[in-house]
Amino acid sequence: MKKYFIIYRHLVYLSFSSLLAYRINFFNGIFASILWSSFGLLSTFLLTSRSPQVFGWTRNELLVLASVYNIFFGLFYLFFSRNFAELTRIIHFGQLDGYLLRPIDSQFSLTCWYQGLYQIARIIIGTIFLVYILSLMHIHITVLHVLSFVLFLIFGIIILYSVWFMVLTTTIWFTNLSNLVDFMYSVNLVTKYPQEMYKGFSQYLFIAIFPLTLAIVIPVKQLIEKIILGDIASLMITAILLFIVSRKFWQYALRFYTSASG
Amino acid sequence: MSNLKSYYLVGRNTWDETVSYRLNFMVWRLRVVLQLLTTYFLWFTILPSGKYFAGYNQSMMLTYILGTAILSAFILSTRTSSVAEDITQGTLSNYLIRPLNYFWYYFSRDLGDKAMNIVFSIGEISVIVLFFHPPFYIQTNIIYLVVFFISLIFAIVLNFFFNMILSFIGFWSNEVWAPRFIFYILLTFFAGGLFPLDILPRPLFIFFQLLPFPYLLYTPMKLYLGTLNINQSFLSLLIGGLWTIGTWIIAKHIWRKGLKLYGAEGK
Repeated sequence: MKKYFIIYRHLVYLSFSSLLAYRINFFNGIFASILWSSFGLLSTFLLTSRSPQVFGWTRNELLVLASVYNIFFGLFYLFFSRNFAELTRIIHFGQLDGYLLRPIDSQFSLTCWYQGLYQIARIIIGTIFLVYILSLMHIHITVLHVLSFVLFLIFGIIILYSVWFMVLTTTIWFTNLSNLVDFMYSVNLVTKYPQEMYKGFSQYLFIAIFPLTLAIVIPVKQLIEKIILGDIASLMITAILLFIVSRKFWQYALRFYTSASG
Repeated sequence: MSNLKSYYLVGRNTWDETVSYRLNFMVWRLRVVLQLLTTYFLWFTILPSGKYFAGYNQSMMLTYILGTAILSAFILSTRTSSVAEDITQGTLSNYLIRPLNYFWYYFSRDLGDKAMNIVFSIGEISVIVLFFHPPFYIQTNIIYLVVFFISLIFAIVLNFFFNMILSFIGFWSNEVWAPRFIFYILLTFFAGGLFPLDILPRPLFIFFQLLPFPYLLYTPMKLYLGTLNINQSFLSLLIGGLWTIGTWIIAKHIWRKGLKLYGAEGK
């Protein structure tokens, strides 16, 4: 475990060095992150401007959801999204061999190598807005609140990571699926809205996307003090199960890797 | 005549290129459908039957959302992102020595891409209509259809020149991704694809009317729905037309400037 921490520290240093080498890209990335998160919050503001409640959630609760969405995806894109885009390219060009031969876990090597450091801007904006909205709601934030929120956020990220990893593992069989990463970005949109939006529309659809609806909504419910034990259990069990399944699926899929480029 | 045939073949090749990897193509279409369904569910839930939101009832809003989805497929799809690669990788030289106009070449590619997009978008939305029976307004007034068609042409040409201008950044910098991504973010919100722009506060809405983005999706859709009077319709066409001519002039100017700097070095 210590070995992986040391390796990760070096990887973060390399990412930071790369950022400094391509500074314009970095500032562009920061600007794009700020725009994206601001417009996300603005959309929520607009949707709730004429109605006190939407999907059974008040305006402030939806703004909390929008802020947490920014923090959540800021973290996910910071740690993982670039790696997933690289994963499909590596498999397509038959370069996976090099990663499999490394004396470290292949899943770690493939999904944790790069960091999108400019996403920090999105996390900061989300956090500032979240603190502001929570203060307007007169919700008293304690250390326990923050720690449990972070813990639930981590479980939520594990759910999304596992879903992404399982879906992108299929490129071992279908190497030409260059659009799969873009498809997964669209799947991320599903997590933006409360479960009630899908439940109200179609029970079957809701069941199909149920794990994704837990990822952000449960941490938000914890913050706005609407969480129940069933929510916590659902989140944790789903996250652990999905992670185990994604890992087993990856190990199974490697048996079929042929090292021939697409 | 032979030039027209050449450009037709370019468009046709673009169509063939896109569908050559069928599974990849299906995943892409699935992505488009998923994005549309998310927006559709959102408005369906926010606006139950009988309720109003900023003057829109459920029928009007869902027609707007589905309509802009079809228009997006037609107007916003583009192949011009390859222009930046041509410039930065030095392959632009191949096109410069050929007896064809570079702008017309990429416009033909765009049309091939749009043809494929519109065929599949109509199919997808037909399936959605079949399953969910959303209200969809069919315009029958000839005048509104004519102004809608004109605004559509302006929107297609405007989007083409916008994207060409962005790609020409490649003459000055290898990093074109970031400005394109920022443009995409602005387009997502300001073109009216997610919601009709007139639900914004009035001063903001008037300000946005002066920008080119609403003329890509919002204005054509409003013209189709017939919710603008004759004066507003012709004013919209005039401003849209001016933006189209303006971006054409800017694109040509930047192209000439960029060619003087072009060294065909490649990355």
